Amino acid sequence: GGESSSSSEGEEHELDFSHFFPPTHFMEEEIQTFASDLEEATDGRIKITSYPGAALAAPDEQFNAAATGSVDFALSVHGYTPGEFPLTSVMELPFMAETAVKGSKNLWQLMNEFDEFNDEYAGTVPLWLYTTDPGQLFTVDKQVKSIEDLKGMKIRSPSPETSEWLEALGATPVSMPMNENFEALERGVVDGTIAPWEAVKTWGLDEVINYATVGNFYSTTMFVVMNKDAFNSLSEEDQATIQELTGEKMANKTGEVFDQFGNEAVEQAKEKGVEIYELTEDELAEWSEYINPTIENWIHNVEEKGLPGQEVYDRAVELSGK
Amino acid sequence: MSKVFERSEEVLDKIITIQQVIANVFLFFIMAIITFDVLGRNLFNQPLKGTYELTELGAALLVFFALAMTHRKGDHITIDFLLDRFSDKMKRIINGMVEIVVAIVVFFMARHIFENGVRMMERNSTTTDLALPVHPFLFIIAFTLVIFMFTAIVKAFTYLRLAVNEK
Amino acid sequence: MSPELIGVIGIIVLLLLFVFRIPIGISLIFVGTVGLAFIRDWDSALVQLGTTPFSTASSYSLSVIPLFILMGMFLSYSGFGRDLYTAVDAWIGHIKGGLAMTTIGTSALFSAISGSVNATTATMARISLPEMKKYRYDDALSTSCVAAGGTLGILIPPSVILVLYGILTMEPIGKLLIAGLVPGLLQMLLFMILIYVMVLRKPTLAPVTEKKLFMVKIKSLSSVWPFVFLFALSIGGIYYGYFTPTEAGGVGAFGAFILTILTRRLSWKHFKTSLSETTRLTASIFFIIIGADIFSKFLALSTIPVKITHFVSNLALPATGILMLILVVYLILGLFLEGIAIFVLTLPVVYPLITMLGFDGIWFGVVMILVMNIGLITPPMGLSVYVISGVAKDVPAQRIFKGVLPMLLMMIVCLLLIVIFPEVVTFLPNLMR
Ligand code: NA
Ligand code: NA
Repeated sequence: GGESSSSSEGEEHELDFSHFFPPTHFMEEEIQTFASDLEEATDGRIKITSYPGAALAAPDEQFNAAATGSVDFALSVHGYTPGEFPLTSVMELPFMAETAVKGSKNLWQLMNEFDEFNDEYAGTVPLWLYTTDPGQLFTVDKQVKSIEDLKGMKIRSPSPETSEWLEALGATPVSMPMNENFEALERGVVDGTIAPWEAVKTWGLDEVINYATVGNFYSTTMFVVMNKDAFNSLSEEDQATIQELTGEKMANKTGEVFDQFGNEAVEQAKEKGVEIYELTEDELAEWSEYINPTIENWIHNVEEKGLPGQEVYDRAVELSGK
Repeated sequence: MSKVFERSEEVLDKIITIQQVIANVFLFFIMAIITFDVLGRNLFNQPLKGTYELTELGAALLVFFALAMTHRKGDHITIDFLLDRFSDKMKRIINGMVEIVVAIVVFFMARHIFENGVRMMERNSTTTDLALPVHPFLFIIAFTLVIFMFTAIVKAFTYLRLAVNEK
Repeated sequence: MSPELIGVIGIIVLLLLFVFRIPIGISLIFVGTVGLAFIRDWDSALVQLGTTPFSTASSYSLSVIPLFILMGMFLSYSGFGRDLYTAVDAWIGHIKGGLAMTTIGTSALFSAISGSVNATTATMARISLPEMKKYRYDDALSTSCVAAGGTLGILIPPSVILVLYGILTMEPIGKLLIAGLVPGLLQMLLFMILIYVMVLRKPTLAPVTEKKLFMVKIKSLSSVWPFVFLFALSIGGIYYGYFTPTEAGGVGAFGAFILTILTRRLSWKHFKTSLSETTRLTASIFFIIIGADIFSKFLALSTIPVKITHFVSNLALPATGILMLILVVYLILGLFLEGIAIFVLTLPVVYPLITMLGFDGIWFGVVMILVMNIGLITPPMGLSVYVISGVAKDVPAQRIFKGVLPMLLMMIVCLLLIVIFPEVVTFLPNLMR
C-alpha cells in the first residue's frame, strides 16, 4: 500500500488512514493529531491522510481492508465483525470497566499478556486498542431502578451477549442499526437502549430519553491496526517511532477523550432533565445472578474454540480491580 | 461445436430459471420474517431472533440470484442514444463487445468475492445474533456471478454470430 | 500521475462507457476498480471488488427497497392501482394533468411512510406508470412526475438522510426531521403548478377524460379502501411506534399480499410475476448502487471533491456569494456522486463554514437535501431516473432525463425560495421546545 518515493534513508511514505466515524466526530481530530505527531517525529517521512465516514471501506470491512492492504491504517469496532475477535470480545462483557481509560488500558494489557490474541489480528500490526465509556441503560418513559421495572420493556441491544442477559432479566431485546435508534426511541418502537454516554451525545439520543440507569453493562471495543506489509516497508527507525507513539500511550489517550466526551454528555443530559440512577453494589449483585450465565456461556464458547477463555476472563476481572 | 453450445445454453437456462425461483423465495422470506418479528415484538413481547441480519442476508442473496436473469432479459439499465445511429451489423458488433466487457468485469468480481470468502472462512467471521458463518454466502454469491458471466458470454456469441451471418 | 488527474480521466472514461451502452453498474465498477488501482495498486483495488458488492448489498437500509417495490407490484398486479386511478380520474380527471398531479400527491403521502427516495420512487413508479400509460399520458411527463415525486421521500419525515445529516453535524435530529415538512409540501405544490401550466400549454401531454356523474364519483370511492387501509396501517404503525419506517416496507408488502388474497385478486401467475419483477428490478438497482459505492471510493481517493470544496471555501467573498458558490459546487458534484458520499466528503469543510457565516444549521440540512435531490435526476449519475427506467422498460433513460428538465427547474426555484425565505424551513422547528 501507499506510495514510497525512493529506497534510501530519507524514504517517504504517503499512507491512508481509514475509519467509519463521521468527519465531524472527535476521533477524526485524534487521528489528525496522531498523523501530525507522526509526521513530525519522522521528519516528514510518514504522511497520513485520513478518510473518515467509511469513505474507503464499510464499517464492517475496515479490518479486512487493512489486513489485505486495501488501506494502510484502519480503525473500527470489533463487534462489527462477530466471530473474528473471540478473545478481544472479553471486554464487551458486563462490568468490565467503569471508565474508558481503564477499559482501554486493560484491553491493551491483555493483548500483550496473551499470545493467543495475535491470531485475531493476522496480517496487521495492532497499534492500539481501546474501549468507549461503558454502556448504560437509557429509557424514555419509565425509569428502571430494579429488575422488576425492566420486565417487558423493549430494549435495543448492541450485542448477542447483551440480548441474552436482557432476555434473562425479562426484557425484550431488539436488534436494529444505530441510525434507526433515534426514531425508534422517539416513536416507542423500543422503550430504551443500551449505549455509551458518548453515543447518546453523538446520536442526539438525549433529545428523546428521560432516564439513565448506570451499571456499566457493556463496552464497545475498537482497534487501530496497520497493514503488516506497509509497516514492514518502513525503516526500523520509523517502525520504532510508530510504536513509541502508539500502544498503551494512545490506548490511554483515546480512553481519556472518550471519558471526557462521556462526562460532557452526562452534563448535557442532566441539563436536558435526564434523571440518572446508579445501581448500588447490592442491586448489581442481584442483576448479576441473571447476567452470570451469559458470562459462563461466553467462556464456554471461547474455550470450545481451543482458546484460553477462562484464563483471559479471570485476568480481565483481576485487572478491573473487582 | 454449435451443438455443444446449444446444449450448454440449455443447461445455463435451467440454472438461471432455478436461480430466479430462489431469489423469489428469499424475497417472500424477508417479507414474512419482518412481519412476524413486528407481530411477535408487539403482541407477545417475543421478537424473532436474527430478523435484522436475515433481512440483510436475504436481500443480498436475492439480488445476486436474480442478476443472471436480469441480464438475460436485458433489464440492466443502460443509456443508448448513440447506438441508435449505427447500422444493425455495427450495433450487433458493439453489443457483442459490450457483453465481453461485462463477462470480464463479472469474472473478476466472482474471483475476488470467492477469495474474500476464503479469508472470511479463515477468520471464522459470523453474523451477529445467529452466529451463522459468513463465508458460505460469499461462495454462493461467487457462484451466481459465474452464472452471470456465462450468461454474458452466451449473449456475446449470439450477437457476434448474428453480425457475422449478416451480409 | 496525480490522483486528481486520474479522477478526471476516470470521469471521462465513465461517460464514454455509458455512451457505448455498457450497463451503468458495470461501467461504475470497471472505472472505480481500475481507478483505485491507478491511485493505489491492483491488489487493493481488487480487494475492494471482492468486498464491496456483498457489504453494500447486505446493508439494512437497502434491504427494505425490494419490499417497498413488492408492495407496489402486488397493488398494481391485483388491479388496486387501476382502481385508485379510476377513482381519482372520476374526481379530478377533468382537471388538466389530473393524474400527474395525483402521482405527485400520492408520492407526498407515501413519503410519510418511507424514509428513502429509492423506495418511494420504485413503489410509485410501479403503481402509477402503467395507469398513466393507459390514459395515454405523455411518457416523458409521467416518468418525470414519478422522479420528482420520489424526491419528496427524504424531505417529508421520516428521512434517513436528514438523520445522517444530524449525526454528522450534531444538529438536533427531531427538529431536522420536522424542518423538511414544509419545504416538502412547497415542492409538491410547485410541481403541481408546473404540471397544470405545462398541460395548459400543450394539452396532448395529458388527455382529459370527460367529467363524471356524481354517482360515479361516489361509487369509485368504494375501490379506494385497500389504499386507505394500507396507508393507515403503515402510517399508523410508524407513528404509534409499532414498527420502524424500514420495517414498514415488510409490513406493507405483507398487508398488500393478504389483501390481494382475501379479495381473490391476485392469481398464482400474477403472484409469481410480482415476485420475479421485484427481484429483477431490485437486482438492477442494487447493481448500480454497488457500482456507485466502488466509484465513490475511487473519487474519494482522487481528492477531487475535497479539493474543490476547499478552494471555494477559501475565496474572499460575501456570505451569500460563498453560499451560492457552494450550492453550485454541490450541483456539479451531484452530477457524478451519490448523495451520501457527497455528505461525508464535503460536510466537514462546508458545515463549519456555513454556520460561521451565520447561516442556520438546520436550514442548511434541508438546503442540502434539495440540492442532493437535484443530483438524483441529473445525468450521468441519476439514480432515480435509473430506477424508473428499470420499471418503464419502454422509456429509455435519456428520454426520462430530458422529460425531467422542467421538474429540475422547479426544484431550483424551490431551492431559491428557501434561500431567500429561510423561515419556510426554520419556523416549524422553532416552534418545538
Ligand atoms: Na419520508
Ligand atoms: Na446526478
